[in-house]
Amino acid sequence: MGSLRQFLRRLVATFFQQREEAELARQIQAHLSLLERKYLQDGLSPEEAKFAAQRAFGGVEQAKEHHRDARSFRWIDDARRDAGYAVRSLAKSPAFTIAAVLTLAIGIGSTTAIYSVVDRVLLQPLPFPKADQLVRIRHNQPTRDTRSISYQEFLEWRSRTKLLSGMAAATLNPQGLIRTRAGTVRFTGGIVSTNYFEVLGAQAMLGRTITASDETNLDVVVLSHDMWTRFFEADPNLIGSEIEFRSGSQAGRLFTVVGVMPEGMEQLGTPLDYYVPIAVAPDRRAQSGIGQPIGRLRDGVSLSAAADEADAIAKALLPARPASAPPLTGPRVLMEPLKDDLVATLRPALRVFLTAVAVVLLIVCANVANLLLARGTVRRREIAVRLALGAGRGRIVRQLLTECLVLASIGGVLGAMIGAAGVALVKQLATVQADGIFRLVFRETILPRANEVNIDLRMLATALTLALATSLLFGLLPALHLSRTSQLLAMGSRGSGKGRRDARVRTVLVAGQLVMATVLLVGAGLLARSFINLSRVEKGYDPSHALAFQLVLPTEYSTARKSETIETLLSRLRQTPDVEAAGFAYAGILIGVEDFVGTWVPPGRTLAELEPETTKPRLKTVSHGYFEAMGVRLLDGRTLAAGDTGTAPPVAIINRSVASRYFGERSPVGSTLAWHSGGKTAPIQVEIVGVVEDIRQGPVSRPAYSEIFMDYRQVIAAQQRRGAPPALIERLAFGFFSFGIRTTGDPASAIPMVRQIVMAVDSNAGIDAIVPMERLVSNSLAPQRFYAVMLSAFAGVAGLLAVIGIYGVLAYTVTQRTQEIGVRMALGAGRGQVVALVLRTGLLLAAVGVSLGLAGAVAGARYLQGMLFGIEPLDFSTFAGVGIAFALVSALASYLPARRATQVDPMVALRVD
Amino acid sequence: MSSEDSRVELLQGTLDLIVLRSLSTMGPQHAYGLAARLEQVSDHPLALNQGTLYPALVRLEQKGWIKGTWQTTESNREAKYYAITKAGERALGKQAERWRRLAGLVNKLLTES
Repeated sequence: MGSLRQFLRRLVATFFQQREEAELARQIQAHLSLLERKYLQDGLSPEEAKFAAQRAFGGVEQAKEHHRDARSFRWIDDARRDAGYAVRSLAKSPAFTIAAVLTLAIGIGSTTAIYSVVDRVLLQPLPFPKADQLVRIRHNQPTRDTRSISYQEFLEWRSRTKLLSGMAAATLNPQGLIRTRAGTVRFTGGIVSTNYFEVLGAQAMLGRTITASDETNLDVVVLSHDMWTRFFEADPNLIGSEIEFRSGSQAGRLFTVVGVMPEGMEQLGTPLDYYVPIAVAPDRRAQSGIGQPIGRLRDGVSLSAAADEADAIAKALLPARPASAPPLTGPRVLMEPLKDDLVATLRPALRVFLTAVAVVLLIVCANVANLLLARGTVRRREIAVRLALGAGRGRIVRQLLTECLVLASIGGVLGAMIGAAGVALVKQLATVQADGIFRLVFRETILPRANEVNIDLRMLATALTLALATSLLFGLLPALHLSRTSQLLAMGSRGSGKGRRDARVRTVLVAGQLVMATVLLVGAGLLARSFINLSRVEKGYDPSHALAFQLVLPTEYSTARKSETIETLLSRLRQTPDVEAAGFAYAGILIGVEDFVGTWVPPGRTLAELEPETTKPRLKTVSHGYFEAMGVRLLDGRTLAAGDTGTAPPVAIINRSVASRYFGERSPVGSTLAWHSGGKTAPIQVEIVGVVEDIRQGPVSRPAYSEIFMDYRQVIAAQQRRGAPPALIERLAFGFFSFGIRTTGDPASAIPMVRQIVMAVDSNAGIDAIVPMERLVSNSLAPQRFYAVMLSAFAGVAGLLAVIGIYGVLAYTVTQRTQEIGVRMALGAGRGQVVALVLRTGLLLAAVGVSLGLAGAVAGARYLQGMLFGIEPLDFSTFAGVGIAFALVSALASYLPARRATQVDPMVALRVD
Repeated sequence: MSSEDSRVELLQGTLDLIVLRSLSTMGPQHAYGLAARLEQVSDHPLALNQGTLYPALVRLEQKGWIKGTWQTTESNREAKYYAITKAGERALGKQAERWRRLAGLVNKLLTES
């Protein structure tokens, strides 16, 4: 009991030192005065009595020391005092402290942020338990005739496999027309086997997932989180209610909503809006194809073993490859980890980032080391003096340690904050909102699980540990080497041999930083310019104020009825006050569909020579008003008009690529193209009435296609005259049923109005994806923007750190050479000469570092090849620009200490030892 | 022999024991009084630096075995008087027992031939 009490009282006493000291002093004073009195009584004089009392008492200071040791936990007290001293000491050299703290904070923060993203995105993209066990099976070397695995085969396969603990199938159904509270909308869903969720290990957020019990009742549906929030108002009572799947104009099937999935489920390839179980009658199972099956490896089973088993089963189960197919060079089926689906395209880019992270960490450590070494050398005298005054070696080491800890802590806290901000920024840049069909288009721009990225604590800890280790190592160095003789040396002289060696180490460190920073800056410069090039690419149309959407009409409508619906919708839209222009197109801009039909033969050429070409002009059917809606520039002639109906003579608008390809400099207006659309019938003669600017029909990085535009009504009429089958005609004419409108105000605000009009025109019609064009354009640039911004941020950080490094080294040099500078100035050297002296060192350092850096960048730039647009990896102006800019900044960083050198007062300099 | 050599280096524990015992028999005392009493009682002066009592006193006080209060002496000066507590008496008994056993053992070992 006594010991516990003692422990607690010691603890308390640690924090009330002043009170304890006062109490002790009072006691000692009383004691001494009693002793004095005794000696006075013994007959000594007052003076002698005082001395005798002190002698009898013993060393007062020593007594106090021992008392302190006994009454409190000295080490806590010492630590507190060390920390206080450290803070004051750091505050006295603000340049060093700010430089070191910034370096640590930026380094720790940026590396943690990027690694957190990379780890989540690249290394763990699937939100399922033991996601490494999930695999996908697909055909090796599929040909056009390779048909997908049938449901029957899948069931059989599932019963045969021994190495997979579960096997499931999911087929994509992009045609789910569902009546929602915002009208009928087309969704992309998955038709899944009942064990799909079980194999994945996915849990529902609300309600339940599809399970084996649903084999008996197949009219159940599970919604995705996104669909539930956006189209069902996140209604928690939706579970158990029924929603209607429309099919054409009849009332559709009713499905019961049994569950809602959590966010983050949308990770497997195309994000799915809903899930329904496979409902195939037993006699149809052999004909129904399923998508690529997925499976889960049993614990302990390797991928290669399972792949071999799958191949064996495939060979036994699946029909033989057609004789026309090229011979197989490998297994029949391949088995791949499921997560590879998502990240294959991202890997090279993310690898670049990981390299950048490592580089920045190195720079940070080098910088901190440098700063600490410089500071340490300056303080050597101070330490030597303290040692001489009797401070224990251990005490000094402890105090230096505390300083390093304080520095690392401040840097670490700031770094964590920067890291959090960085993660938020990355999340914002990497998330792309895309609906409906655009999900298929922009799949690769959506970083998987970007919305779940959080600071990776392991990385934060790693970065912090690294920073701490470097700080401790280089911060403690000055104390550890002091023996008696070197103490004296340190006190007496300035430029000892050791000092020179230290200086060389630091110079090399700074040069190294410069090299690395230059490399990163060049890379960032290339990417940034690439991005700017991309965003400046002449798109050929004006996305501002433009709204795009796709319509979904029941398949059983006749061609005539579909045309009528389109016309009614367009005229209603045109009547709306806010709408300037409205039009229809086979496929909206940025859908990037590539479909040719037939061969177009201009005058003077023959079918025989043009037919075998691989890049023939593509036909795009549009309506009048579409070019106006999309702001496509007319270069020659006229655009389509209301009069270009099915009964009028067929006309076409061609784009610039076609015009220059077939007509060169001449105006093609008035010429006739012969449209050979296959078969033995005569070609359709089409007159060219206008030329429009090339439209980038795919994501901005691809070159423009050669396109020929005709009014859809004329295409229908012409093909009907030729006797083409209706399915082909509809495919040619209608395509995706894309629409475009131009609004006077903000296109996003017109969305509800458009939905209403569509519902009013035909309640059976559905809308798939309605979105302002500007957002689509932005989405198509998202990856390049992401990489450019991220690498630029990194390069900026590296550059800043390197510049701080130069400043640090030169500031130290000035301090070291204060004596020398003083002598020179005393001997008559002018300001300019002193500046030149220091500047020379700095400039030499910068020159060497930057040149080596540029050389390194030359070597490394080719790794960026695949990510650049409109600029070569060895672009001279970028290299030159970075080199010059960096050299100038370095020069400035050298100039500041150089100027300080001139402010050295020679008298003071000479007097200082 | 210098005066330093003749100073007995007292172990921490034994000083605690001595202080407890003195306070138990003498009643409340201040540090000076304790030191004076020690000098009085021993044959060879312990010649202890009087200041070394303080760490021992604070240890005992923190353990709750003695309690200090500020009072005025007969000569109208102030001093902190320490008194042994009940817990201290109990501890004294235990420590004394231990000391006797230890001393007995050492003695026995030393007198063996």
